Amino acid sequence: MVATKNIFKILLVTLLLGLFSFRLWQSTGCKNFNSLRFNPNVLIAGVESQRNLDVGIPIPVSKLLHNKVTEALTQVSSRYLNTFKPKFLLEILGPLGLFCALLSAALTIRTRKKSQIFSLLGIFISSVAAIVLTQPKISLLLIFASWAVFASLSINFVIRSKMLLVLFFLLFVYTYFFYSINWQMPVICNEIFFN
Amino acid sequence: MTKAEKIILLLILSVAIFLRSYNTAINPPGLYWDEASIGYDAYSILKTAHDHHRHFMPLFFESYGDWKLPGYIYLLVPFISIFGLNELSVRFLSVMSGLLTVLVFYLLVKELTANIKLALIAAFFLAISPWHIQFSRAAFEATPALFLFVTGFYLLLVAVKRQKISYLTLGSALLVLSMYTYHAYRIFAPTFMLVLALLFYKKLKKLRSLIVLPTFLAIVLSVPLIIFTLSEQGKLRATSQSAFSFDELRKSRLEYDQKSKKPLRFLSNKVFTEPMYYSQVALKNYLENFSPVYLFVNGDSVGRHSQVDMGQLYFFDLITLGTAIVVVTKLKKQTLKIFAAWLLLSPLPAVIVTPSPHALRSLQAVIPFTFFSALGANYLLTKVRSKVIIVIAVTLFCYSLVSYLNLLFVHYPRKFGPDWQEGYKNMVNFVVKVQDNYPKIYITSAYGMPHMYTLFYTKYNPQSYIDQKGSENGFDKYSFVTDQTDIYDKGRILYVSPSWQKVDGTKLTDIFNLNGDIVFSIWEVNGRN
Repeated sequence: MVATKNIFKILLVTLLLGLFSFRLWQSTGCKNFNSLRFNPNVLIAGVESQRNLDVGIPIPVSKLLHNKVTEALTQVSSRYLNTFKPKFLLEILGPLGLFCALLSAALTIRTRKKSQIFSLLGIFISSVAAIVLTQPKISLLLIFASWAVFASLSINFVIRSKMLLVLFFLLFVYTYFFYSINWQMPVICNEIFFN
Repeated sequence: MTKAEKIILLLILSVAIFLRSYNTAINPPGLYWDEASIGYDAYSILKTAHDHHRHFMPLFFESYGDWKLPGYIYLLVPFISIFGLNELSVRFLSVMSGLLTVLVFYLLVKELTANIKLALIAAFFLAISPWHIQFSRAAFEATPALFLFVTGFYLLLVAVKRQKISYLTLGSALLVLSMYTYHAYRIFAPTFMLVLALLFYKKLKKLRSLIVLPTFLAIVLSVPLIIFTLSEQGKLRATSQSAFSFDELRKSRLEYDQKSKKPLRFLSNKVFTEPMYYSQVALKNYLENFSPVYLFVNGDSVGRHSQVDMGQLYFFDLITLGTAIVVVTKLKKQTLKIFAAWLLLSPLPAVIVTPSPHALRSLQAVIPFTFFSALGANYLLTKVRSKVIIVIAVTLFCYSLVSYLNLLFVHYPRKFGPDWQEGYKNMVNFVVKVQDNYPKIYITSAYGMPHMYTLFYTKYNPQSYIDQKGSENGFDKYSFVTDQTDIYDKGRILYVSPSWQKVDGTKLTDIFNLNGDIVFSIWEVNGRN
């Protein structure tokens, strides 16, 4: 029984990682990855455009509401939260990976296992790195790796339920179709070619 | 309920009414064309019992060919009769619906959780909700539809608890009425009720003698709606808004064939099938409604649906919702099931249409989001003891609120005038002043639906409009033209041009928006006959 479970576990992890590897291979055709980096040059323009709209408001109040600090917080938060956009995560993890990641998140809240928490922290840290690093390819690889690890931690839970197992295999097939239709990965890459 | 709690609730409702009604006639700055159409059709029904397309007491309004539902228009008639045809009367129904939704939401949370403090926090959060306020300040059908749905659902809950068939019947009727008020509820309301019926099947089985009549009534009342949905007009509306485009599928497949490696191309006709393609479009659209960027940073990209410079929710909701995820297991199972189902089903109407996410079509999501945010806030208020943290939290909360009010009352009317067709009112008012001097008046259609704004702001007699068979091309001495139309062979006319058009005539005036940009220019043109 334990041996069967272990075989299943290995099979599922292999399938999941195989799917992610396929996705990584698809991304090798990309010439220009979209940058996730926070650009500090937009701060001044942002502050000015907001203050220009503050007609009739006392200048100190306008400065309190719209300044480089508030604009920086907004811009940094926006870039950071972009790494958690469902469209973005769906593009890299596919439906199966996203499902496993959500399952893993639910398990983290319920069980509070150290491995789950550390893996989740890894995601938050890799997202910070993504908005700071100048090389978008490395940023994306870091995010991808951290989410892939987090998603694979749900396999232990999946093998315990027949319904989840069936869902896993159905989503595996569907994800292959999803990856094929979304070959161009417009959220991640400007254009993908295979010559 | 204690006296203090009653006073707090009154204060919350006062905040709600202020945020929804202050300057609502001029902010949003101008009437969107749907508002103008709804207002004028209500006016036409009041005066002639016909809509402006000459249909007698229609169940569905042709409007601009988009076939509006009747709920808002018929409910608006008494307001038009009291306040006249103007921006305030058209938006008043939305304002009142928004206010009453806050009250009913309080009652709903109290009913489900038996926690008055939580119910008050939830009501307060809805009262200051940017998402809800945005749609309560203009004539959006979704707002009264949400009120009807929440009230109907509340009555059903009370009815099940107290075993009262009258409440069940009224609740069912209100739920069906919500489906006649906004299109999104044609999908959301029956789906939500079906899911709840499955979740609480055992409980409902014991009450089957009670639910037979209300269910039968709901089905009978829904029949005209079902017939409309399956009709040519209903299908036309569905396809015009559909997110599932065969052209997009073909384009994607072509791109795949052109850019992928040859050995993989044989797969393209197996991969790019309609079910596969459309299912991934639907999946992306669904998940985008839970995007943290959409919820907390940028909101809906359409200027009428959000501030765009902030999310649909406050930034502090990120903290309270995050807390709620941890605390949610302490809720009663029934309450958790209801709000979880509500949250997960809310985006469905926005999934099958473009664009997505769509804050208006998923407005019903504001209820569960607000509930869970209040749940998290209630937990934090109970657990946090440190005065320093409380002061910081209150400061951040107040700062968020003030920032939002700054966006809503100061920035919004200046920034989003074009989204609300700002300028039409002043243009029509000027034309009315001078129109007796001209035999014909030509108005540009560059900004959309000029005939409706002319009808609305002149309060044109609907019977006259019907008798002369007026249309979007013209009525009376008004003609509505593109900027390609030759206006120089019409003799002496008054011509209203868009701001960018050069006209060979005498300029009488320019019409400006709040930012000082020209929207219309009004000319006297002496053309050849």
